[in-house]
Amino acid sequence: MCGTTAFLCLLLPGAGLGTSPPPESATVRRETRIFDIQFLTEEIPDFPLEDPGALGALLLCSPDTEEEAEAAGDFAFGAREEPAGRYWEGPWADEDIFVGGFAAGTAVLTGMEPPIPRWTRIDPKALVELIRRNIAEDSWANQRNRIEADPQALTVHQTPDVLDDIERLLSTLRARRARMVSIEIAIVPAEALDAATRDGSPFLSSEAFDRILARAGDRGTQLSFTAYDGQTVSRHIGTQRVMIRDSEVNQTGVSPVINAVIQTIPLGYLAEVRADAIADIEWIALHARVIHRALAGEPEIRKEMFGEFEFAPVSERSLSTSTIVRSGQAVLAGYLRGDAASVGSIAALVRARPLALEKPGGAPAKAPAGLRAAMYDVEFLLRAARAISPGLSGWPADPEDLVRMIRAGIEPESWSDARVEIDADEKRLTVYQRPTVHAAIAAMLERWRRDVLAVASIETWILRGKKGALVPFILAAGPDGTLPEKWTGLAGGAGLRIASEARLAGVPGEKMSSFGWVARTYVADYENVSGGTGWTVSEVPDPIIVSAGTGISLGSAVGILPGDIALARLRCVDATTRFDRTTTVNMSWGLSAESVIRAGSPLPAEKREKDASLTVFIPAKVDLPSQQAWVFDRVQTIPSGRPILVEARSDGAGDEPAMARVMRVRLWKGIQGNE
Amino acid sequence: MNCRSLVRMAVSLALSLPLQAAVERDVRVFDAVWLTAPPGARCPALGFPGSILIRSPDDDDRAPWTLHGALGMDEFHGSCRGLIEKIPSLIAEDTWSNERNVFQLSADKLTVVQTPAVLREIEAYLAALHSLRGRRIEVEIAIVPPSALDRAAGARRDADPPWLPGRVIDEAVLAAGDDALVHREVIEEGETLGVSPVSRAAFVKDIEVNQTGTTPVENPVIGLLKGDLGFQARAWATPLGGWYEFEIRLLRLHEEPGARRATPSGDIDLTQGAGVLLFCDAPVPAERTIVLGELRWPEKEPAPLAVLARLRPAAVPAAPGGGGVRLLEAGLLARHWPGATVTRGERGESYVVVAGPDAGVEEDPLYAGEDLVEKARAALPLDMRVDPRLRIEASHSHIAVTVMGDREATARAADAIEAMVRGLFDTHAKAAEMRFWLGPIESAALAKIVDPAAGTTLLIPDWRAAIDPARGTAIRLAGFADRLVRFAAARGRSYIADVEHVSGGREKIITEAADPIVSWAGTGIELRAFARPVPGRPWIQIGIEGAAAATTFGRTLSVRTDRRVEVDEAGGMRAIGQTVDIDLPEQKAQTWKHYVTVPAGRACLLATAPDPADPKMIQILVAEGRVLSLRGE
Repeated sequence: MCGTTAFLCLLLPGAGLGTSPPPESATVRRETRIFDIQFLTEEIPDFPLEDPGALGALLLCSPDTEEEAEAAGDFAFGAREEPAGRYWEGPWADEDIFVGGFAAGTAVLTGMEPPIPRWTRIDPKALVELIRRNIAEDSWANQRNRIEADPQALTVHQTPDVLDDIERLLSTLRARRARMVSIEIAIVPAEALDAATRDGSPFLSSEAFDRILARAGDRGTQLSFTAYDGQTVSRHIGTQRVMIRDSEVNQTGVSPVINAVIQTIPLGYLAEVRADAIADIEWIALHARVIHRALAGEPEIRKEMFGEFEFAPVSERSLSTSTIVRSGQAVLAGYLRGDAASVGSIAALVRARPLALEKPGGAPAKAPAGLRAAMYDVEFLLRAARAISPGLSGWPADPEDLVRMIRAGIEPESWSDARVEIDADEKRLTVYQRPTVHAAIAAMLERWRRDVLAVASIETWILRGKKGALVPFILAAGPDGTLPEKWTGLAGGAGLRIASEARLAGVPGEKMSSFGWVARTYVADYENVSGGTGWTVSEVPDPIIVSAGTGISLGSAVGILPGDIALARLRCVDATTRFDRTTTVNMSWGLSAESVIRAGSPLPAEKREKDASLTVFIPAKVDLPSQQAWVFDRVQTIPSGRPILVEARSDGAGDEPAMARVMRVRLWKGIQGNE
Repeated sequence: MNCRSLVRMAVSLALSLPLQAAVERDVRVFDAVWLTAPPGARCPALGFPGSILIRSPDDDDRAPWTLHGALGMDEFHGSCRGLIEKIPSLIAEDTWSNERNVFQLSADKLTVVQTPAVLREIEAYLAALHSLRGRRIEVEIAIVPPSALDRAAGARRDADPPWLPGRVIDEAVLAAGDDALVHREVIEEGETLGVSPVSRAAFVKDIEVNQTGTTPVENPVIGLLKGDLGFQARAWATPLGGWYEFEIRLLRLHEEPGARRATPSGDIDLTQGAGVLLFCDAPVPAERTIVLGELRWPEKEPAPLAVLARLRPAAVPAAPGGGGVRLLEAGLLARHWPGATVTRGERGESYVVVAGPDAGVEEDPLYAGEDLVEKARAALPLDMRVDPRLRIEASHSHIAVTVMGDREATARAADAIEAMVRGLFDTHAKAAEMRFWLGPIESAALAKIVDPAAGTTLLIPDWRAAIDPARGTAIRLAGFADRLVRFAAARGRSYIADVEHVSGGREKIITEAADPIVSWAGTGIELRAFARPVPGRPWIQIGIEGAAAATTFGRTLSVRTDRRVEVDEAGGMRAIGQTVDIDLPEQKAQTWKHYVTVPAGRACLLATAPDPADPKMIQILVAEGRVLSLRGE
């Protein structure tokens, strides 16, 4: 029996059908005991970043036609419906549809439901039922014994040995509930990565984590967290800056009025992480997101008739992925670097290990011979199996398959017993069975969990050069775009330089993304709004503020097909934006006659009587930025480990109009060690 | 027939009609005014003008550190009245159906016609209630520099509980000299002692726009700046003899008018000041000094401090014994229970919900009266439980128990129920101490203080020896486990965070008005924290929400508040309307939200972060929680 497999492993002496309740007689001693169960019944909160989205965006958009209506740096498996490009949207604006998975039987990446919160509280009623089912089951029919629970306390009137068993059960549950994880995140420049990362494996030793952090010196940042298993925690380190970034029109009154939009912008490092210990095996699933945000220049203060606001260039670099790490070891979540200052350089490493609150040890309690209930954590298994070629694998990808495979594979005849039960949802498998069956289930689940452990890394390079450099490089690639292992020499020889590169490592089916850009807000448009009464009409201009920038964003997800083939979804945007043109538009500005002063005195009296209100046109500046944007959005099947030329274009402008994009996907499946 | 008529008839019957010779009856009118009157409640508003953190001007929760209204609820009133109402079921229950006997409770008196023996029982019972109602507690609160506390109690108190010898408060005050701040008062049990700050100054706090009329109009908001110590405090007895439940909401804030900012609607006094806030609930042993909180940091404003308290029972006449009903202290269990409840929370919102008037959430007792009666009955042996003479009643503060006509059985039942109450009390009313340290250490020192056997979370026992503790902020807080402690120490100022325009009018006239939004932000630390032992395990849960921030003011942008334009001879236009400068503060801030389970008594590294002031240093946040034994004291 694998003692740590079951979420609720009720190996209690005297529990189960094999144990008879004490005989009822006058000499049976009973007592009332009150157990504090608040620790078990209370929620464990999540602490996500308050505003996890990007401040800026990359692609230009047209405020009126919603042309190019998609968020810069964003990618999604489903169609986007909302217009994007506004500064309040970003790569995480539609978080829920990012959680990728494979639709069974198809080769199309589809959206999947978000992760289920783990180890949510235990309902007091369920706890009572659990105890009645597992501890001296037959004794509860005796009315002298009583058990009741509220969220704070469990009150039991029973014999002392049963009360002791309940105490032991609660102790086990508390230990499960108290599982903590230590998490460290190192944010370093990609240049600090050393030879340990060059073989493409995302897995690093703990020493390599420290070594890379030391190499980064003052440019490296380490953040540490202590969190519950499955709890989302976050930090913001840096400054907060208050800015007037927009003005908006309030139309709730009689006439429209214009108000400044004041925002508090967090600058510095923002990190969010969740660690889910994978049951029974020494691996931890990690969901990590880091953002570095800084002012990239002096803000432009724009003075308009209605007041002032700021357009600040903000550089943002971010990495986000869901991956796995061996306990106590580290993983390179990804890196992004470019030779342009706007892209910059960032790499994120994560190290995690469970925090042992008590030393393991002590003889395991003797398993009772009778039926007993146990719950097993199957969340990771189902999610991971779903991402690995469903229908072709030997692992259950949904709760129904899980139940079916267990019933067929483990003592099939035992399930005909009317007393046994098995049920599963996306998170837990609940079984009421004999100890031998429980042991077999635990062993089977552990084997499956190890089998479905997999990580995919996706690497992309953007090459730039003159038009003539493309052809020799294209010719060097095979008919399917496959490049030789040492393709960088070929590219250099052809006259292409690596303008940027990125690598992201993640669990198959989960999203990975990164961006590095300098973006700023600008006035993309004005909209006039009017209102008033029967005699008086007022108009005000409403500036439409959006964001665009220069840099790179990419998002990806990888699935595994049979034969070491990866199904990769990659969306990459590479944009260069210039804010060099403006125009002036005349916007309506509703006034009362008294508001207009002519040459130091109000309008003449006859004018005031004639017009209770009047409208003048005020000049307002609208920005007309220009942009070169390379947008790549594909789903491709790629053999694992081979560099592929996925795109080559020569329709750019400037000194380097040619662009080539190389991609490589590597898969690590059935991981047994820290490879 | 109204009550008065009933009483009159009963009295007249008792006095004029011939009574059966065998049964002597008498009439007694007991004064119930004092028994049923609620204890006093004085409730000055207490709170920081705002959070130290810069918040969005649109955030409704602009003053999250303010206590609204009174502490908890006044339940003692209902408790005594409830216990009086139970008399017919507790004393001579079978006799009340006899129409010759009368039990009439009005707002101010209790009229009883009964046999002398029953009247003596009732008298003894009411005397016991008088004793309960008459309990007085002397409350002393002192704020002293930590150095004065060290001189009085010794500097090496790391392993000591926060309950120190009673003399410590006196000696610390003496050692502090003019730096000490002392308050002493005698209060009733359950009374809310409200102390308002002494100094006050009027100022123009804000200008508000009133939109209830046809057109929006601007009105100045005149506020009162209150200086120095203000607090609310309340004390209750507990089932553990000699221990009080002590609730205190303390604020020491000194504010003064700062810069005057002109707006088109008039001038606004921006204020500046510094202060310390401590809201906590603690178990306090009688006659001892408790250190409710300590702050040690390198800042001079507000200065480091320790908050001490001592509670002593004031003498009250003892109740004459001999009654057939035993009154057992239920404390806490049947009253309000402002325990911290953890929720999953929403992005950016607090994850701890605490019921109570300042949270706008109704407080529920842990056990309603019927629940407590049920639990008391369940605690008795079966033979006693089925005894038809057994009567158990519960109120918000006490359990009344009697086995009618059998004092020995009453004593046995009371002892069993008392043991149950103590058990419940032990389950719910645990005490804990929390210590936090936030500060910079050299990057290389981190490896020296982390316990290599426990990942990166636990620190070695003598971790303080490897760093310079004086460079950081150390906070030590004591209180009931599970209750939220709120602490803040900061200096800050108010500023104009936004201007909102509104419009109104009709027909030919439209009026627009500008409403300046005044916020407050500052430099210092604020936290909400609680600790909760994990039953059966040597662990403790620590929850903390908070922030440390350093705020600078300087940048402003102006927004226009009216639309006036000037037209020049060439037809060009220039805005000449009035403007308001909006402050755009900047802030170096760390915010925390942590909820962890760690070994009790071990220092736990909650977070590390680079020190923005020095790249060779890192900022660490360390928390330590200890379970405090109430039984051992």
